[in-house]
Amino acid sequence: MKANTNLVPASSVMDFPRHCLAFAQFAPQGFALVDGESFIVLYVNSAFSRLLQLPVEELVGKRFEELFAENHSCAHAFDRVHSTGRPERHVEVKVSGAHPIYWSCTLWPVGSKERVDYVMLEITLVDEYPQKALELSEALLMGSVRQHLLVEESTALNERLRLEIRERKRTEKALLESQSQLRDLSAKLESEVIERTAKLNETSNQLEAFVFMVAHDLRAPLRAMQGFSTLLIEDAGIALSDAAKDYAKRIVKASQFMDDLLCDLLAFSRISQQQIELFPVSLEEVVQGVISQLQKILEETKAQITLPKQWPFVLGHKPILRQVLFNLVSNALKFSAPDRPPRLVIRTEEQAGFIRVWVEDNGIGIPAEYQTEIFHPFTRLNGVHYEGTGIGLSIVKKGVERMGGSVGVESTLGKGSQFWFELRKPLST
Amino acid sequence: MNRDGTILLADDSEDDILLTRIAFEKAGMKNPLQEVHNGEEAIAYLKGEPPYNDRARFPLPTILLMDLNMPRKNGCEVLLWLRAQKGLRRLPVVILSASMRVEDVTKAFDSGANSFLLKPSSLSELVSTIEALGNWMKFNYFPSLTDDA
Repeated sequence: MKANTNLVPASSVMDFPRHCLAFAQFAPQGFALVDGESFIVLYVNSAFSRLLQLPVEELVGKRFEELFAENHSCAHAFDRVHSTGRPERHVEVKVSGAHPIYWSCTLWPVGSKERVDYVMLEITLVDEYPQKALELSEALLMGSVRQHLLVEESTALNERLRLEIRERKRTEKALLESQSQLRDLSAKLESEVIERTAKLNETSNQLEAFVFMVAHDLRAPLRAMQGFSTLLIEDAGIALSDAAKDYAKRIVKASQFMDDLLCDLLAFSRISQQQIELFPVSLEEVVQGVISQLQKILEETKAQITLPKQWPFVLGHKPILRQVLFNLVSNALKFSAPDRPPRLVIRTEEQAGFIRVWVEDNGIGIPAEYQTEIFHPFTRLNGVHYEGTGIGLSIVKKGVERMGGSVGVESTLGKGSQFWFELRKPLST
Repeated sequence: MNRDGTILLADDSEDDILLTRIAFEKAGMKNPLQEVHNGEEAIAYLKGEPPYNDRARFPLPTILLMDLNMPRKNGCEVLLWLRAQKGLRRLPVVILSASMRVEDVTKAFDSGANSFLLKPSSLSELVSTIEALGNWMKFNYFPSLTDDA
């Protein structure tokens, strides 16, 4: 055992318990014991000698400050530990050859609170630490560079974002403005439409009222003309010459015709302007009503009417439908051929949601070139032999159109005509 | 009041009144006819105001046969007034108008008319209309105007 080789002469280290030093002898860390009074190094272990690259003999017995270069931080630390009695630890660098060697140095006092008898020194190689620190600081540097770049980038990004937000806000504002303008505009438009519709309705009502007033007021003098010329013929007939009677008869006839005209005009204007709602209407009921209304003429003309066995419902307006059918049936009776009694067929067809109603006759027929024209007001093809106002079929057309349908005719001159109209089939009855 | 009582004609058209008188004659109706020419005159007659204050000459009518379109209160205004008068409000009123407007018919009945006859354009039809009125009067029970029980 070389137990005592690390020690200074016994006299100097007498007071320090020897067996305590034995603990340090083979430790991997370097240990040194320094006397608190003389600052003489009393003991070093082999690790310490290796670290300082000096043999034990050259270390023990020297004053502590001689072990280190001048102003070495270990020397300063020693002073502080000695005077304050508080332990210290710090990292030292000792240059040796090409590679720096790092060690950490820990110093602590040994003794009592009042007096530092010895100072213990422990040195540990900390080769990994500086490398790590270096890497860490490099990483930190890179990190800060990166951070800097990131900050710059995010600043630029923020600026762009700010601009974008500003632009967006501007767009939003413009959008809101144009939306509100649009709203204002549409509100204005709507109120204009309402206003104009109201005006139009008012005008239309005024017009309707006007037409009625005109027709009504025109019919009043007509009643007088008709009434008094009739009285001339009936009551004063004996006193009148044949020519005068003929004149009076012409007045009666003319005023009767004018009355028919006024009635048809009234009906036409009424059908054009009246507000209507469509309901399912029983075709049978309407046709039977028309037939009973025309019963007298049917008997006079010895007419025959063939009616369908099955009657559909149509979507229509009963008074208008009645007028339409009345005009069609009375036309069929009126425009009969002189050599044969009228034969009428009323039949229905269903196609694609529509009901087509045919009113067919064996009358004089209509030349092909006039088959569209006859639906226009005041079109009369047979002035001399067949009386009429020329409005009847216009009423038919207008009436059917008001009920959302259409009309047409097929005819052979001299053989007869087949008038038809189509109305929607009601979804349910 | 009875079926042979006076009939008051209210019409602003002198021609129509004359034709109506002739139609009454031709229909064989003997009812005395009185005439007024606007709504105010009709009201004055019914109230017995001058110049109609002599009830011997201008008796309360059995029915009022009235046009709708008249100056100075139209037929509906006369009706509304009449239906609010004690001692008059049950007077049967027959409208004789040339109007074919559904609204006029509705308004007339809403105002208290008992019948609405269309003024026909030919004399023969007017005679038929008056005959029908005469037939109706034959079978109609007339209310008492004065008894307000």
